[in-house]
This record gives sequence, C-alpha cells and structure tokens, in this order.
Amino acid sequence: MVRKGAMTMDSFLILREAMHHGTLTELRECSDLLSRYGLRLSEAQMTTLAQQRVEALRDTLRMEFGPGILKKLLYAFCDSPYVSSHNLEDVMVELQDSFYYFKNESMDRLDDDTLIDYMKHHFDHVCHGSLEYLSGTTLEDLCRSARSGEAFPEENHLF
Amino acid sequence: MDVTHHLHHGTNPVPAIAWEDRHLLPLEDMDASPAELWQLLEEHTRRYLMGESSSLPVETATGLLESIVFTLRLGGVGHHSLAARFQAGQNEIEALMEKGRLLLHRVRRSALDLPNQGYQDTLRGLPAFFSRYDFCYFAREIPCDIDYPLLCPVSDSLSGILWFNDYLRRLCAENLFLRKFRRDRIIPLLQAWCDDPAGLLINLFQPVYQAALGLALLGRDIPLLSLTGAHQEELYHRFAGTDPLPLCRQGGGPSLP
Repeated sequence: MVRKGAMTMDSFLILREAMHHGTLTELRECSDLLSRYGLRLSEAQMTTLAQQRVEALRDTLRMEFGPGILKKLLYAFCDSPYVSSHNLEDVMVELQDSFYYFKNESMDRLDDDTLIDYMKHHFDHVCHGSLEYLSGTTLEDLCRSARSGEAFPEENHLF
Repeated sequence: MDVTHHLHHGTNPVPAIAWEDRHLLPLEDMDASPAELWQLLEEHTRRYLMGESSSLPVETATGLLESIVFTLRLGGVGHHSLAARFQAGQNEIEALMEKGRLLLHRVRRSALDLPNQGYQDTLRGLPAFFSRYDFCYFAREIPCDIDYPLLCPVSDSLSGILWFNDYLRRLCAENLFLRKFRRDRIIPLLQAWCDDPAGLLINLFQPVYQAALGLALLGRDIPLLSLTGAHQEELYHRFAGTDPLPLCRQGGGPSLP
C-alpha cells in the first residue's frame, strides 16, 4: 500500500527515462564531427541509441543525469579504424552497455574519461576491433586492477 | 499526457511503486514537487560526482535522495525555496553535531570501567562518527560501529545525527545510573546474570536496574545490589496475582531515569 504523496526512487527512474530527448540533441550535435570521419547516424539509429541508453542504465541499476555518455564515446571512437557507418550503431550500443557495466565492475573507481581512454586504446591496439575481446578480457582485467588498487594491467594482444 | 509534461508541471506522473518499504519517501509534508526535488537531486549528484562521472549506481542515488529528504525535513518550513530549506537543514545538522560532540564528551566522562567487550568497543568507536559522518551527501547514515545494546533502544524512525544523538543521550543516562554503584558490586551481579558477561553483547544497565528496583521495593539496602533468592521470593509473593498495569500507572513504570 503506497501512501498518498509518497515518492519512490522508481518514480525518479521513470522521470529519467523521459529525458532521452537530451541524448538525441547531443547525438545530433555530433553529426558534423562524424561526417568528417565518413560516419553517419540516421535519426532512427540515434533514437535506438537513446533508447538503448535507458535500457543499459536499467540493466546495470545505474542512474544518470544529463545527456549520457554516448557523445563522449562517439568523440573517442569516431577515428577508430574499426568503426564505419556500417557498424557504428552496433558498436556504440555495445560500447555503451560495456561502459555502464564496467563502471559497476570497477566499483566506480574509474572515472568516465579514464575508462573511455582505456576502452579506446585497447579496442584499437589490443583487441583490433573485437568488442567480445574488449569486454570479455581486457576490461575485466582493468576492473580487477581498479578494485584492488593495482596499476593498470599489461596489454594482452589478441594477435 | 506524457511524463515530461508532469516533470515540467511538477506533478507525479506515475503511481509510486515501492521496491521495498524503505524506499518510500513520503513527501506529503514536504511542500515540494517531484520536479523541484528532481532538480535538487540533479545538482546534488553533480556536486557529489565532481565531474568525474556522469552516472552512479541507483543505490547511491537513493542514498543521496534520502539524505536530501532528511535534510529538508530538518530545514523546517517557511523558506522561499527548496534550496534555502536545504541549507537551513544543513545548518541544523551542524548544530546537532555540536550537541552530539557535547553528548559524546558526557558519555566518555560517565563511562565505566566494566569488562564487557561490546560496551568498551562501542565507547572506543563512537568518536569516529564525527570524522566519518558525511552530512552533505549521506546525512541519514550512521557511520560507526555501535554494537552495545541499550535497554530502551533508539527508535527505528530516527536516522543519521538524530539517531546518534539519541543513542548518546540514552547511553549517558544508563552510565550515570550505573555510576551510583560500586564496580565490585556490579561485576558479581553481571556474573550471576549470564555465563559470559565480558564476551556477550548484553546491556549492563538492565540487571543493575532490576536489582536496585527490587531492593527499593523491599526497602533494603540498594547500593549493595544484593538481591538474593529470598528477596526474589518475597517480591514474587508481594506481587503475585497483582495486575501490573495499575502499578505502572501509579509509579510511572520502569522507564529510563
């Protein structure tokens, strides 16, 4: 039985989910940058990414104010040799999911920029574009180090 | 009508569905709309994250929100904005912390050298509250190890500095009562009370209070704390068949001094 006037965190989470308009605006602002690298996101793809952001936050039991992490991920990964218009949406969905998941796994001991820099470097130079290798091995090692307060792990190249 | 409409107009767009009861944040007495509270939570979260992260676990966000509501309640009514009310609440918490420091001083001055690990560990752990208490972000928490059970526990409806100060107040009252008796009278009583008075988490006040009360009712020498089997038998016969409720009403009941 819920008392009259009661507010729960659930109510806030639902309010949050109505705020993906901010995410869409941010993604639209990335169009110019993306085009410089020969990349493009359609309006439908942007909407999918914004919706996937809400899904990712819900799945990882995280909360986020503002437009989210997608813009930062796009800025970081737009010059990757393993990203093209063909796979951009899928890569971003996967990176976004991994980002929130590994924020939890690191017990929030890694700030956003550090995690994104690490993801980008290893995606390009260690995993050679393999998202499975990035999330299955490299990021697990990083988060284990972050949790125990050790230095960043050595690079284990896929090839 | 979509959710953003409610957000802008300050109405609650969804029926509140609690995960658990502890997540309920009753706002009926708060005079704050969800939109105002959302904005305050957003600003508060940004400060907490210090620009290093854009997101945080829902559990942490819940702690921040509960802290905001706790602080707003302490801020009272009559403020021109929610931010002003929040600031008033923070000022009130700081004043309560000052009172808490004074209470802690009294607890330490009244503490007894009794061989009970829970009691001594708790006494040692109490000062850490003030260095660990994050009243800006987690004002509802009680960040120190308090194992020692009081005879009359602090109400579960209290939290944060309110809970801590009430614990200190009650502990101080128990200490002051125990100080009326000699240590070499208390220790044998505790040893008769339970098998391991040094190791078990027991309340030290209760057996002393009960013995003192029994002796007082019999008109015996209270400071000796020597309530024998014969005394207990006498008390039993005196009160056998008596309805205890009228007695409690007459005498005010066996409550804390």
